[in-house]
Amino acid sequence: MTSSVRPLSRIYETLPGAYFREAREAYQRAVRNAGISHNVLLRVAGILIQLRFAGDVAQRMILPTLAHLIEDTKDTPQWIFHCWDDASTRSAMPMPTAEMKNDHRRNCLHKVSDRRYVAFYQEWMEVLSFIDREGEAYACYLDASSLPMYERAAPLRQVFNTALNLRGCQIVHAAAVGDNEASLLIAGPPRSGKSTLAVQCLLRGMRYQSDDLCILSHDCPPRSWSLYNVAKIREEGVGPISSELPLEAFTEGEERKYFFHVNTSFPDQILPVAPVKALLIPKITGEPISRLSPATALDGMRALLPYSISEVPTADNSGEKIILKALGHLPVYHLHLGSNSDQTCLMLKDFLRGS
Amino acid sequence: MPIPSDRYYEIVEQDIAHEMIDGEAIIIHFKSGNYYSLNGMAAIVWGWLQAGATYGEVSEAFEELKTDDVAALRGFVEGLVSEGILRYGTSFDAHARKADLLPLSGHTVFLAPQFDKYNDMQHLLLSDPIHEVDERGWPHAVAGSDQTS
Repeated sequence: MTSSVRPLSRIYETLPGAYFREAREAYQRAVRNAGISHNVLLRVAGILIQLRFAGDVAQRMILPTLAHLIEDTKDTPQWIFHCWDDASTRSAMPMPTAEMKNDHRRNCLHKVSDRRYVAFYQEWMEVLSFIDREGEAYACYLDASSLPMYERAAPLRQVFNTALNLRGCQIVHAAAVGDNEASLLIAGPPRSGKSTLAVQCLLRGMRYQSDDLCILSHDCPPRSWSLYNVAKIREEGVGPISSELPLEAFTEGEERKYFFHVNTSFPDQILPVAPVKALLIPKITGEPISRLSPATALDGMRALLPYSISEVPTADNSGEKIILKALGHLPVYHLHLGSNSDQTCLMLKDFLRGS
Repeated sequence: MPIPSDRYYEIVEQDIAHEMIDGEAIIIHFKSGNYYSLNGMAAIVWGWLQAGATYGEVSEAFEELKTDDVAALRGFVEGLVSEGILRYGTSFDAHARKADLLPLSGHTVFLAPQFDKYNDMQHLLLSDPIHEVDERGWPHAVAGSDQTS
């Protein structure tokens, strides 16, 4: 991929505000070139966000994942997010200089970030995010038409998370399912079974928030919110349901997987927000029957915090503080995950009801 | 060398996250990626220091300290300083102390406080998703480090 020609401006090199304004100018140029294709309001963990797209490629790729958050309201948004891609709008993304990238940790370009402005660069997939903590953000893709599933299934995570951090919330690496009253967070290392379990629960009628990333607050009790209405299935899990769902295939590493948008297939089962009843740490046992046993807060932290921070780093470590505070209010259990998914889901339903 | 009895400590808030959960203090140190668990007496002493107790007030909280006990207490507190969790206070503010959480003199039976230190999350807390991924991109970490998905 090559970037289109950009203006020769280096003023932003040491000035977060100037770099942010360059992003704003680039977005305005994208609007002049390609027009505004979409302008929607999203309610994200109680925050009203206006999401504006220049051109139609970026919105086509990422908006379906956020469609369940769209709200029709006359209220004034607290945040305005702007999104475009370089390739379809011919407005170059303001790439960081080599000097900026010298202090580039956990996605954050620290040389052009301060208490008000923060710039993130996810270099491997060419995504730049610029946030003014007073309520304005810009996100730019080099070429949205070739976005990896990593971004399509969980777009704009750095922008959302920065806004959420200001409200005591963090995007966490956890599946979340529930009933009408409460949710269960399911967190653990890769291949511990959490995503598969979340989809099994969905298919058995439970309410659904996430198979991978959801929002967690540090209230007492903590609450979880659905952010991305996506469910992913490994190839071996596709068989029985493939004819019923509009599955789309993708490749993650060397593994073939499938995904679908939950709000189109199971619109009534999305659980927008719920108090979290417990954090479960799954481990596949090979036994037929699943069971729960108490775990410690330290176990919970090990399961939830490092993977969350690794997936959605924060510029100022606020994520670690929010997650640790939430853990102070959460019962934690080991979920010894058996092979009988009907029994597992019934057990979780009973647990949610308190029996 | 003995620790001055009027020495007090500050939590290095900008470098750590900490929470007391069910009587256990859990501390995460951002710069090192280490995390710590303080149970029992360690959590109690941590609570006193957090409330603004001086070292003298902490040591006087115990009924009677033998030489080994003094060394254990000093080792615990200075260990937290060495780990970058506590630092020596520089401007004592009596009003900032939480009086109801300070120790009562001579009321506590001494048990050597100690902290457990872990470094098994370093690779996730410190890894840089930009520079430490292989050619397939995140979440595929370079060989030798762990990966997330």
